[in-house]
Amino acid sequence: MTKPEPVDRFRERYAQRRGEVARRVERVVLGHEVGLNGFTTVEQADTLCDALSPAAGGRLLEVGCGHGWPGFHVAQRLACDLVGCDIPLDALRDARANIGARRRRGHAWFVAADGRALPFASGYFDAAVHADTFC
Amino acid sequence: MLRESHRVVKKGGCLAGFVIHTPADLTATAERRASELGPDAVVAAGGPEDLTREAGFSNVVRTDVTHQFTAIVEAMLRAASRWEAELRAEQGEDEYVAGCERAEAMLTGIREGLLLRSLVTAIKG
Repeated sequence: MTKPEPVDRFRERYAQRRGEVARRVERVVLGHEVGLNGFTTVEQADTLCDALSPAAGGRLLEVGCGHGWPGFHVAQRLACDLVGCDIPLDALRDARANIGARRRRGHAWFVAADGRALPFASGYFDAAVHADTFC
Repeated sequence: MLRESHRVVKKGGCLAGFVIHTPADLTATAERRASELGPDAVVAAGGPEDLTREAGFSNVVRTDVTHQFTAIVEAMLRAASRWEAELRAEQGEDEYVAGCERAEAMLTGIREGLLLRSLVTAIKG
């Protein structure tokens, strides 16, 4: 059986609205609720913070950010500004909506961009995170 | 993605991320099966440490978190079963079944040793 192209599959999945029951499942399994964000638990997101802490306080890039998890969590913990990038526009819109009320410090922007051709200047970021976004 | 991440991170900056990947030295047949069983877009060909080094990063460290990955996928399937009726109603029959099939395929891949999940950290030297 041939799988759809990953980007098309992600576009399709991000365009679907997440219902309350699906969000409940996410809370129970991963400990957070932002929608369709793979396999990263809160505990694992904290591990990313520990790994990145020497570079904390500046600009953080999340490649393949989806709905902004775990990048937004890491940015808040480390008091960084966050730039999240991904391809599906629905995901980016939801990411912006998700973080609105939860942002306590720093700024967050979400940018439509392919991780293979990032529209940023060389050396612009202090650190980068990704979660299950290898390509 | 890794090469571009390397370019946009400043010297001395860090990279950290989770990667679902296959073990090194799989046969072509096993690679194909891993690709069929694995989640979308995340089965990276080749070891994630080598790919990270090839992108220019140094101090590359990989920590295997497959045991946590297994527990998460198992928990997803348990939750899907626990709230089956509500999820079927909310998502529709096709999406519910497809989601369960994806998770079951992943679990099969993990248990057959074809899918691993690792935390990879590195520094731009």
